[in-house]
Amino acid sequence: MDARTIIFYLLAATVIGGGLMAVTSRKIFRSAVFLLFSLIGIAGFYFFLDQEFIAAVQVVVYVGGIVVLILFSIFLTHGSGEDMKKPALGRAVFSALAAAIGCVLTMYLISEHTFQGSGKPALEPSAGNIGAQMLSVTEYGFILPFEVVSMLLLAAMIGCIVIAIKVKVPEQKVMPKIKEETEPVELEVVEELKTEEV
Amino acid sequence: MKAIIATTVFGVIMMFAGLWVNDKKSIAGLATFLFAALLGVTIWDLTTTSVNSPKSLFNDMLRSEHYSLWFNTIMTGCSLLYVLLMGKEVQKVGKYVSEYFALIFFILCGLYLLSMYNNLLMMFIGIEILSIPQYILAGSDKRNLKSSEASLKYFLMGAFSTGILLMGITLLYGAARTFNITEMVTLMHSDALNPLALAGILFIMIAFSFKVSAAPMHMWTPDVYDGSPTVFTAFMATVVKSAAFFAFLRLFQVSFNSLSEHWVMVLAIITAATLLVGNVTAVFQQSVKRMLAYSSIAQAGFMLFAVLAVNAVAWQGIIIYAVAYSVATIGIFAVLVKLKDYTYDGFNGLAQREPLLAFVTTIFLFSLAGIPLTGGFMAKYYVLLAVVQQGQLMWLVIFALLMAAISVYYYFRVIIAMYFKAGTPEISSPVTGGDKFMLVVTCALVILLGVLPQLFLTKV
Amino acid sequence: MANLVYLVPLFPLIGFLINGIFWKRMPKTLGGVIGCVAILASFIISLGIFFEVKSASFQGPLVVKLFDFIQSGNLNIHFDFQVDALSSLFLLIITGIGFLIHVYSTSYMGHDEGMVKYFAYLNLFVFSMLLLVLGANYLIMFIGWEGVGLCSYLLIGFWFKNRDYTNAAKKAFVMNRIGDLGFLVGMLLILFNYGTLAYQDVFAKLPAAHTETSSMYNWIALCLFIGAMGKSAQIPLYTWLPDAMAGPTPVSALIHAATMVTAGIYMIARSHALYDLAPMALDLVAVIGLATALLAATIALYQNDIKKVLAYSTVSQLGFMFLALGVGAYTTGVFHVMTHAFFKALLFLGAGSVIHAMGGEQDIKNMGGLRKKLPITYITFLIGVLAIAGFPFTSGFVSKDEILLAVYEHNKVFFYLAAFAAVLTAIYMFRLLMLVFMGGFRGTHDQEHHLHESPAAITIPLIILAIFSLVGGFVQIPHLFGGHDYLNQFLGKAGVPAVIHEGPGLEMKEWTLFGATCVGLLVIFLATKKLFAVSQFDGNYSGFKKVLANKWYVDELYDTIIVKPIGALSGILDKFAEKAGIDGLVNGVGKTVRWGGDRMRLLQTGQVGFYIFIMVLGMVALFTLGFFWIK
Repeated sequence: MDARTIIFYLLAATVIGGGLMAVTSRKIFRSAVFLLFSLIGIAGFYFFLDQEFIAAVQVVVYVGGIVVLILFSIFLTHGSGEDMKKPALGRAVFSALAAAIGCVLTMYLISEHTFQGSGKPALEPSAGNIGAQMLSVTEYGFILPFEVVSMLLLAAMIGCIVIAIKVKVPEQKVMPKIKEETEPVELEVVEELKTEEV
Repeated sequence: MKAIIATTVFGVIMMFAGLWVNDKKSIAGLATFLFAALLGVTIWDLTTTSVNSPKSLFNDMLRSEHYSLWFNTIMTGCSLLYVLLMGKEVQKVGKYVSEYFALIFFILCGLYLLSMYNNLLMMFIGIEILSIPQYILAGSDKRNLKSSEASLKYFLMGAFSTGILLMGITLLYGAARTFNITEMVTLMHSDALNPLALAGILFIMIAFSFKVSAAPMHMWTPDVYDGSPTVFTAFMATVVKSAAFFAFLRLFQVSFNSLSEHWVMVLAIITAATLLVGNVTAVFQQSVKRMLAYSSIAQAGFMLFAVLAVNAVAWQGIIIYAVAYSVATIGIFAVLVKLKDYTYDGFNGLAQREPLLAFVTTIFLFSLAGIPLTGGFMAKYYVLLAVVQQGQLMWLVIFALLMAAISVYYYFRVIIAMYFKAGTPEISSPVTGGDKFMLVVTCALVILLGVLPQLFLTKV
Repeated sequence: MANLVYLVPLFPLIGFLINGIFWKRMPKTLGGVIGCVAILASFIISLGIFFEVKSASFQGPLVVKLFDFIQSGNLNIHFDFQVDALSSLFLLIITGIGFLIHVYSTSYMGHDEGMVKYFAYLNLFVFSMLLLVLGANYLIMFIGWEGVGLCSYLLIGFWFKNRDYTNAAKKAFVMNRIGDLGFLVGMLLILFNYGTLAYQDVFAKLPAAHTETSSMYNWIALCLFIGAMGKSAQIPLYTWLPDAMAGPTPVSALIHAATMVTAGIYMIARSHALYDLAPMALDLVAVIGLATALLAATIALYQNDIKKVLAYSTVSQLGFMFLALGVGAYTTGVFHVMTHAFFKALLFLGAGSVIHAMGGEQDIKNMGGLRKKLPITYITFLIGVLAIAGFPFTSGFVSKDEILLAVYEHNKVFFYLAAFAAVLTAIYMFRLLMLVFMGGFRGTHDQEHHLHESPAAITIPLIILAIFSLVGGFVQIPHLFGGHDYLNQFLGKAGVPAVIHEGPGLEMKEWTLFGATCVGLLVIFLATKKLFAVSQFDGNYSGFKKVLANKWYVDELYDTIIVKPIGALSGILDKFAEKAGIDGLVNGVGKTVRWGGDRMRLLQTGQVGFYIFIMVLGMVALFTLGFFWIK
């Protein structure tokens, strides 16, 4: 057992343990924090595989962006400190069973069969290369997906604004919903609304 | 490709129009004009692309096959019809009319990507572009809690299915070593199929089943379709669903054709379950809107036949089904939004008060039920024909026919309510001459489809 | 002229469109005139086509191409019409009798609010029926097939204010759908085996008769026959036809006697090449036809509703037609369609005239002695009764005689049973005649005062139909009486085989039948009066008669073996589903539940977690299937 193996198992334990705790914790705030550990563990795997750029993206986007956003929105809701209801036993058992079956199936597949390499020469996964490819039209060029994704984000942004912007509702109180985690714009709007409604 | 650019630009134009134009009516007018222009662009695309040699775009990310462009044109036509029929109603949903239209343009961008993708990456992005505006449109009626609930439900479950789709793509990439769906064919062989690839195929199949609301992934459909503002339900249940189906068919036809022995049985079971759930549950609905949601599940069961039959007729089947189903359903929803009460009782005596409305609704329902000489019959005929030509799954065909017979029951309940029951239906907005004209045009389209389906088909 | 065949269905279609679009604004008379003129125009062209087909220069079936309908891969289905002897004969029946009934309707429906709408439906019906018989492939036949079903549905429910009427319409539609399912499956089997649906192509691919046997022919023939069962009201799908009498009487005459219900016979005659290869299916046709003929005839004996008697009589006569087809006498079956169209339309229209005079009364308990007040109706009705009973030399005699003869050649047992059914026919028809027209009036005073002969628009069609009922059989009168089998020769051109009338043994049998008919009818006529106590008729029955009057309790039987078990099943599902705990999740939705069967809806609990749970469950199941069952 060399150091690599030990590190691998440590990372795996972080990911799995974090995930398990996130699901089972009855305080929503703690769940979010455990999720953070799980995501950091995955970033660790990327480092472990020498994919520094992706690892960095994982940390910046998920750990720095999404989880923080989740934490903020939890703070803003009313019941963040209270214990969540215990799930019905039947449902808990079934969920565990479903997860176990999924786990077994995946394990079985991956242990019995493996992926093969494509045989094409690998590209250096440096940030420069990745950036160049995003904007390139040559082979391995991903400009079209890149551009289209930006359109997707535009649509999502419009959506956030449409959903979050204030409307006058005389009879029923409607809380705006959090739709898109990746949008910092949303946070401000939600905050604004909160203060006005309180 | 021109259409993709055009629809994005038009979407942006619509957004800015909201800044400068405050009059809802002129915004709707502008949108109508832009949709017509978009139809022109798709036709331009269609006529400038050679029939026999598809153009490969951006390193084979997209491939503009003739039938894809044809599908784009027809679906853009359906969207134009939708805007012409319901533009007025869109204005009533909320304040942000220009944004709603912008979102519809973005949805069409997703549709174009899905009809032309040649790479799993583009397929994924296409599906997301198709879905995200829908989540928002579903929740656009903020005064109504049901609408917000629908949006949230749709979003949560959509996210779940996205996860499944990604998992499938990953496994498939691992097994086939490429994202390119045409290259993939040469890398996978039926007799020595990597089980990882099979798992990938099944995951993708399940994710698509969610998008097209096939059982057992259909559970979101009734709640979302029922809760969303009726105008947007009409769009989601028709054009969007057809796009998802086209993408489904494209992947399974192009990439997994030779592997069909591995997955066809699973899909057949999904189909049978979808037909059963959709038709049987629709019978017991009290609200016509919710009945239409279940009917859309039932119709999805029929469209799945095109995916099941891996042959050339399937392409024609999906195109004709998509247009026949879309036109008839948009027509019914256009009538539905005119009514205040969405239950069956709300239709009582409509034939007395608005005979034209009742008549066109009858034709639309005939089409959905698959009565001959309407588009629906031709559509069902083509998709079933595709499977019959394949020479297997006869049991499923017979089962489908039985289910089609059941569907007559709940479609005809509406007709009975309109013609054979007395009552005074409440109309929510006046039916103008323009509305009537558009409804008659839609109705004529339905019949034209049933008499001359050739007009809507193209070489595959 | 045959090239103009597309005009034949076009006129009714135009009539339908005009009347259908402007039905709210159009004056009634104009609507009636448009309806009638459209059918008259079709009739004139049909006549032209008929004579062209009849002429010696006409070579084989003519396929008139209209346009391409479906093109996909190597399959090519055209929208074509086929003109040959069989279709031209049906054209004449449909447009000719259709025209008379349209004329009749102008008067009969004259007081109805929705008269223009009625004519629109009627024209649409004629259009669909013409499509059905003109189509050159099974698909067009199916389109017409569905179309006539739809119109029949609309017309049965025409007076929708009465709930029973709409229920009858629904029943008719559902039963027809069951039949259509058979037709569709048959069509798919044909497509699957022969790759085409055009009659000529399919039949060209069939081997010559009896050289090859395959169960496939039987399956296809059986499926098509299930379709025919539904449309032509044969056991077990016949109960809708008597209920369909809820519609206006001219509709019953046109749709439920003369044309639509004979579509099944047309289909089998059209597909005779196929049925020749399917002996088992053909036997089934004969047995079902015979059983229906007998069962319906017994039921007709004790019905008190004038239209119900005629309806069961129609079912019974349709049984005769299927019997003829089943023993291979295709032309005879078609011939009986023709003569039956004459006399049954006549009888229905006569009944309509009676109902009209009685102010809407249909119960024969309250009739009687009408012959003095309604002389023309009486005489024409009498002719109709004589024809259907088989009085020598009337049209019914000739066709039924031919059927019996053909059956005799085929199977002696069938013959005696069929002869018995024919005797029953005569009995119930004489009973009807006597109860309605003879004796004294049993209705109220008001009704008696109101009695009057119907106007000319009603009596003229009656007279014309009466003439045809009398002489319509001459085209096919037996050789014994100097006949020449004109119809057989004519239909022979379409390749429909005839049963041979010649031969040494046949002459003797012909005489026997003729003699027996004459004597039998006389005895029946005399006996009926006594048998049914016509003079002191009160409409109540006991014992076995009651069983017959209640139609052998078939409706109740269907209720017990089909409707109730389904209800019970929903009950069980209900309990099961509730016990399974779904109830707890339902909260509130349960209150809107109408019946127990809709548990499936209750799965929609509105909880995302539950939905996702079901999805995961489904995924696991599908994966298990995909990995361990299929490979």
